[in-house]
Amino acid sequence: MSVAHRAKPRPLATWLNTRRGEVILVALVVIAGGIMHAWGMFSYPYLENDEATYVSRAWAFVTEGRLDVYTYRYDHAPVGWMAIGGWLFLTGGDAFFGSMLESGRVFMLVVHLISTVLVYLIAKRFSNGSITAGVIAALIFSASPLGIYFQRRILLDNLMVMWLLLSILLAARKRATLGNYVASGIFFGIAVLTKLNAVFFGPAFLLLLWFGAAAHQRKHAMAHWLAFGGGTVLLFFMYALLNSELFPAPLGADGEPLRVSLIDTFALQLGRGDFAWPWDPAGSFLTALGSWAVKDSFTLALGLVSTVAVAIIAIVQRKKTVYPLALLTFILFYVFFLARGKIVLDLYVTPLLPLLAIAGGVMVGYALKVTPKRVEKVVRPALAVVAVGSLAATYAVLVPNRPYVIDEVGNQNLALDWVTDNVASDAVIATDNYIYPALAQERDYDNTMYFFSAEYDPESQTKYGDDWRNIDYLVLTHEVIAQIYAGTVPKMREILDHSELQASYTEGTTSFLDIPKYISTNGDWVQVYKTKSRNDIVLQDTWDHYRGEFVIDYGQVIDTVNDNTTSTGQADGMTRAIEEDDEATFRGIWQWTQDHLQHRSTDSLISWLWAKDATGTFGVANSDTVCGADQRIIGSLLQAGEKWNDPELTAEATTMAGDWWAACTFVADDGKRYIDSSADGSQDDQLVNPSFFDPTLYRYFETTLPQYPWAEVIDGGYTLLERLIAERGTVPDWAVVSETNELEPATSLIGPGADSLGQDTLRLVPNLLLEEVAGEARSTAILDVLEPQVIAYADAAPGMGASVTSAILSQLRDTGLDGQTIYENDIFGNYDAEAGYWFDGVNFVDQTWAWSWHEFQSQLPEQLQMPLE
Amino acid sequence: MLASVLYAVIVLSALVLLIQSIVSIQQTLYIWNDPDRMKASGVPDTFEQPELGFTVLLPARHEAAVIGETLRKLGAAHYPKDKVELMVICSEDDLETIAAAEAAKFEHKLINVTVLVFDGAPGKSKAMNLGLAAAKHPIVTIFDSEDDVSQDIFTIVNTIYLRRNVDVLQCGVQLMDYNSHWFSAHNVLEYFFWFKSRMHYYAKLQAVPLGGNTVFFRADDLKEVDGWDEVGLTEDADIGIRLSLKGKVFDVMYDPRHVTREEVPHTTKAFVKQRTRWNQGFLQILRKGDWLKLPRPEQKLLVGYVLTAPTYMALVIASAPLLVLLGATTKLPVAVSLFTFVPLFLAVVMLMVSLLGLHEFGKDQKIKVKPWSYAFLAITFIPYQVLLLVSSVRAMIREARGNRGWEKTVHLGGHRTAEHAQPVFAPVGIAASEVA
Repeated sequence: MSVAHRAKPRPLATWLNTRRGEVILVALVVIAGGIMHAWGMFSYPYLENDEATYVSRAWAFVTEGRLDVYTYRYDHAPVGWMAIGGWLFLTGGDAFFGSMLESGRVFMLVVHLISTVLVYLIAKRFSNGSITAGVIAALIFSASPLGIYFQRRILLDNLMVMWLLLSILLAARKRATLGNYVASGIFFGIAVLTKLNAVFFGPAFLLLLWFGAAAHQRKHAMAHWLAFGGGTVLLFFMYALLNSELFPAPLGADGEPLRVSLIDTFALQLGRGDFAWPWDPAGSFLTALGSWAVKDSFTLALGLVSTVAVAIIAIVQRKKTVYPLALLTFILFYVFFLARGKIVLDLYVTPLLPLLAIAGGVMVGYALKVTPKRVEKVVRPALAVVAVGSLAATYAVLVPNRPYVIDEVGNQNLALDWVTDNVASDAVIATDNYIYPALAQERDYDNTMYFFSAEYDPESQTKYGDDWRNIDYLVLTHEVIAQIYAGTVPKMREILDHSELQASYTEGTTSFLDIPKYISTNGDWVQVYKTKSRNDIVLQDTWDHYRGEFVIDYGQVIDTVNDNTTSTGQADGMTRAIEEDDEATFRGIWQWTQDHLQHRSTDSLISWLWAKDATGTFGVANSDTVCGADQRIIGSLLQAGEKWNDPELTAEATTMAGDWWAACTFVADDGKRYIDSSADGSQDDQLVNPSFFDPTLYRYFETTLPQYPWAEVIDGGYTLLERLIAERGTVPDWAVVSETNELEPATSLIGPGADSLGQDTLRLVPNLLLEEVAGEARSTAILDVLEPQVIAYADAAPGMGASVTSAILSQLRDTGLDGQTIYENDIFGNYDAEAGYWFDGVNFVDQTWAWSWHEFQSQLPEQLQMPLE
Repeated sequence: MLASVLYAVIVLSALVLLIQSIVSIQQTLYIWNDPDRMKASGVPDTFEQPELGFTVLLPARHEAAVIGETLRKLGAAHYPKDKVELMVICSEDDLETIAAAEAAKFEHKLINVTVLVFDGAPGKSKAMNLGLAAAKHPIVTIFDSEDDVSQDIFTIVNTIYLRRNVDVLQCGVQLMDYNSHWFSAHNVLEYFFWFKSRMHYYAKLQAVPLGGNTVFFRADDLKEVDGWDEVGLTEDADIGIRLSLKGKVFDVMYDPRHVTREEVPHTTKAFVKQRTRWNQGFLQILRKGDWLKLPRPEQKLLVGYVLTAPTYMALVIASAPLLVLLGATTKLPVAVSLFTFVPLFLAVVMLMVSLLGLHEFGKDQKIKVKPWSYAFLAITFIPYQVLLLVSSVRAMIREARGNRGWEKTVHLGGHRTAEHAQPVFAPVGIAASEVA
């Protein structure tokens, strides 16, 4: 037998026997680390979006052979979730540990334990065999609060760290074989394919290999490490190439890429975040550093001291060993990566932790070595005890016990339960991914989408026709809010802005939350939002435009065409503010109305016109009131009083209602109570505007202002309309009820056209339609007469008012026309959905008319509303 | 269905390529794998007093140009003359060589040279068997008539035989003229890896296809197995297997300072002829079936691998580009395509190993290898594979036709004139020959 061949290694039993003490010690450290990481790992930290992303991809990989649940975009190399997939497969998905996410966290515990042993071995190796160094490194690694925070999470970084440590250990083996170097290269390749930023450790490996390998092995070691590491990484690029997804994608006619591309994705990711010098306080590096320091000043401070110590050891020991220098290089290259001036995510600290822990161990290991030989028997153990003791004491003082007592996951689970209890399984849901595996993969909510994919992935976009209005629910979390804040998910922002809160789980959250400003500071809360109906979305968007365009000062609603402000305009503004739950604007408008238009000496009603006089000065141009506007203001005040629980508003409404009842209604000879057009104090002929008749409003007053007999007003209103139909065959814009209760023309008071069906008559139609829908026969009789006249009028005098009226008539009655077509052509056809207005957005009257179509829909029972697409 | 079969064929071929590449790389780098192995494989640090006697067999045919210089050098070896017998063995019709040997004996006053002449048909094995019968000393070794042999070789071998339990010792042989022909660097590297690394791997398994010279035997062992096979074309590999069957202990020594230096075949045609002979010889041994009697399965596997490698490597070499082409152009499942690229990757690794090998060869032999030589090595990598392919196919055809004549390699002494100066037997292709 050739002497060139080494003796076989000792059998395991012998090996164990000679190292029994060490094995027991390491086992104890690993168990301690295991307890620290396992205790409370399902409750803290909260389930982060990325964790579920990897778990869902892992499950898709093992069940469907796909690299992503959506189109794989090369955002990360896939080996990390392949490994997670393997674990899920072996442990039966959610079967073993409750949910796939919990199973994933158990896997991370296993990964942590393996990494702990690797940290021990590397620290021991790097300190020339010091067991103390290994134990201290392993303890720091396990006990680091940052470590517990991030290593409990299902992150690619944790897997990458494990492969990386394995790769380091193999490359640094005593009497390493070429096989060891090849394996080290392959594991490094796997680390890179698990998380690409592992590549920043590459240069440190070259140093370790060059100076660590035996002289005659050196070049082979380097070459093979590079070849097998590089070859493994190359597989990823080959995969993209074979899929025709490597090179930049061609752009389609719409300027969007026609397919995914690895190079495009890389370019996008490399460009993420603006450049900032690492010392820039607003830069990503210092921000992240601050965030880490809040979580764990212990590991950072210890790591810093240890790194400096390792640097000194590297210099002093430069001729004896390469390992301190290699360790320093590993740390520094990664720190350079963090400080490169681009985006630094919180979790980027993860790969640094084992290195800092090893540095801590090596520091202590070498400190013990320099102890003089003659006192070593006493001093070394003493020093070891002091080192471990002081570390433990500092740890106890500096580190809170949050990981073991805080429940950050409870709210997340409650939200999941709420969704499964309250949302249909075919609902289209955009969500933080934490809920994705449970909904889409465990419970068949097939239309659940990761919010980022919903935003960008073409495959996902087909689920909602690429129109965010078709997404039913948004599960809002810290991550979603953060992305909305960063401006990366504009569609999600639209959904949030156009949705209503359905369920909110924020109890016990430590987050500072300001949803309207898109601010959250921690992920231990969840809210579920339901996207508004399309109609409500139009109402909201047009309100935004209306408020910006027509509401000036602190609440003046102005028609910018003629600069007039009317009580009707103020009433419109107040109605819409309540509808959109915009209390501030409502109060502003009401305050402005009170300040400028509520000055009549005889009553509390509102003067109808604020305009410029001949000198160009604004002021009350007419102190008369418009009873139609007054009644709406009263209604709005009552609603607002209820809605925002403000008795003062209710009181103001009540006062106005008393004056309105006294001044805006009159009882004619026939004993009927009619509504005056204006509380102008006229005692003889009463000018009336039939369109002021709003029976739905009066029925509301019956409950809110029961002190007045509103039935009289309703009855009087119908009587007037019936009399007009009977006498004139139509309902004109205006009429005069004479002292003798005759209906006389109003032309002399109003001008030409006052006695014909006109724009005012049109305003009556929705009021009557609502009554008809509610079963009021008198309304039907009147509409039967008016319907053909309105259609004819719309034909003869087209405009937004005519279109809106004929559209709603045709929607609910058989006019021979199609309400939907009229809507689509005349109303929606002139609507700018992005800007929230019709035509050019400037014509006040058109905006109000078009809005009234949508407003009318919201007043109809759901089954009668026109479905919008 | 057709697609599935195609996939299966592709995956299977790729798998064969993969395994072949891994095995080949493993053997090629065996000596570098372990940090201590290299040192243990070389010359002992101290030497024993000369004790064992050596009979050096120098079978020669038409070697008049080189035999004299070989005898002179062997005669000057640092070992007692009475313990070294130099035996030139010629057929009676080779008068020039006989005359050259006699002249050298006289000219260099070589008292320990014997010239053995035999009648009948010439043949190397026949010559060696005659030499064995006439050998005076207990250790028998073979050199080729053009070999440049280390003057310390007997001292080293004496020491190893005395210190270790060894029956057969193969010492290093090295082609030197790495830049004499377009293919020579590859050929040189085959020797380099074969003797420096692979032989040690075979020795570990005690199944060694021996080289044609610088191999030392105990005369009694040779007699026990009835000497060399006079029919086969690669009697050296054959006897290695037969000695393995008898349980003889093999060892390998390689030290760059003490290798036997030889020359690369002087033309491409000569190379192909030589390689054809070896490949065909391997096929003969394979057919003979002695190797199947080796006691341990891993020995059978290894020898079977070594003997068949040149043949199936022809298929492998031919199918490798085809696989890559298929992978790149056919719409295969991505996993299958990816798999077809793994052997290609390993081929690149093999090329890398060759480049490193050339560097190390230069360092070992204190030759400054110029940068263009590396570039040339890379460029000729594939053409050299074609050369191996041609040789393999040729060997198969000749063997199938029963055409078993000896195609002799002409020796000019080129390895002695260059800056380097010297190593013979060309074993089966090493790194380069088995690259996918």
